[in-house]
Amino acid sequence: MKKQTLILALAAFFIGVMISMHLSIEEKTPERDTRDLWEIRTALLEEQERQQTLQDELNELQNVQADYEDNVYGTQIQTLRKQISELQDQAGLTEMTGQGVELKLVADFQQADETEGFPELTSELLNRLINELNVYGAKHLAVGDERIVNHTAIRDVLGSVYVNQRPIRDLPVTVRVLTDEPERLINYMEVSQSMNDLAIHNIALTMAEKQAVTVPRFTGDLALEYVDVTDYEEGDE
Amino acid sequence: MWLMVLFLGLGIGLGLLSDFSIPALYSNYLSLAILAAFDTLLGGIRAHFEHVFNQFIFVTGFFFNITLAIILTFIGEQLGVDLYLAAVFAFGWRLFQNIAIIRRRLFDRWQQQKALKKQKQTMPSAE
Repeated sequence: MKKQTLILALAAFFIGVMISMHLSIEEKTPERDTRDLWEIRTALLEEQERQQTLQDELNELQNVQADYEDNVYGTQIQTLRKQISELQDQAGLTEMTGQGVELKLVADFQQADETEGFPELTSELLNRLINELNVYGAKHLAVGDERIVNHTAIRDVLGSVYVNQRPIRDLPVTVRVLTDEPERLINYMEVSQSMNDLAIHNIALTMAEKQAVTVPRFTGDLALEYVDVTDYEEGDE
Repeated sequence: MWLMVLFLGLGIGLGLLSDFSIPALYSNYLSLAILAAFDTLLGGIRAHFEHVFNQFIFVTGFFFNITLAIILTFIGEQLGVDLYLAAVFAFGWRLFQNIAIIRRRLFDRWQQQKALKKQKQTMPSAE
């Protein structure tokens, strides 16, 4: 009799183990870090560089803060003016001149099929081109006479492309780019995706490095009604 | 009876404490194995109450049922038919039957004990 109970109890124990196994079923196998030493080192280096840049930015801002906290009235005003002009440069409210690249988008009839008609630039193509230019180190951009700022909208409206709520003219279109490394940007753009995309649409892209490229200032309204200052606490690091 | 519940708890506890887990791929097999094991265990308890418990039949049945259930699931998965539902149905059906019988036996036993007690109480007063 006792042996019977023991066997039943052992069976129950076995079931208990199985139930607990069922409870601890892993939904997903945990992802393993499969990077080798070299990749980890590269990642570390990247992070260190990032830290360096952030540190530099922080130092600069702390200098500005120190200038503001300076008791001399003249210094404060001077710092303020400098800051304002810097911010205006950043926001695209000033005309800028410097070394850069001039890109020309020209209709390429030689490649075009007779049935295809005149090549058309679409907002999608322009968007992609600008994204790629930004990725490859463009600092300031202008399409035709329209300065590209952070909130510039590029849209298709009734068959023509609107930039900053104004239509740009048909091809050829000039894109002017200010950058610190024009040659590098050109090299990148030579093998870029948008070069191919433009070619598919029968648009040829030519690039020229220039010592003095001028981008016009942004002339539209800065729509800031929905922009808020986020909570900021004094001495919050 | 209490020993069984204790061992069940012990098994769950030990299983949870050990750092052993199986991939989600085999969850189907495991649930069916648990069902089969439960079915056999309840069958054993029932046989115990009916005084026909055979240790050999119980032990072989326990592992055989589990293996069969797993093989059935495997075949079903290979064929693309949910064959394990057949096992679920069969085991579930038997599970309920066994539980019903165990309940009746327990109830009978309880009633017998009650009657015995009453008898014992009435006997001395008669004396």
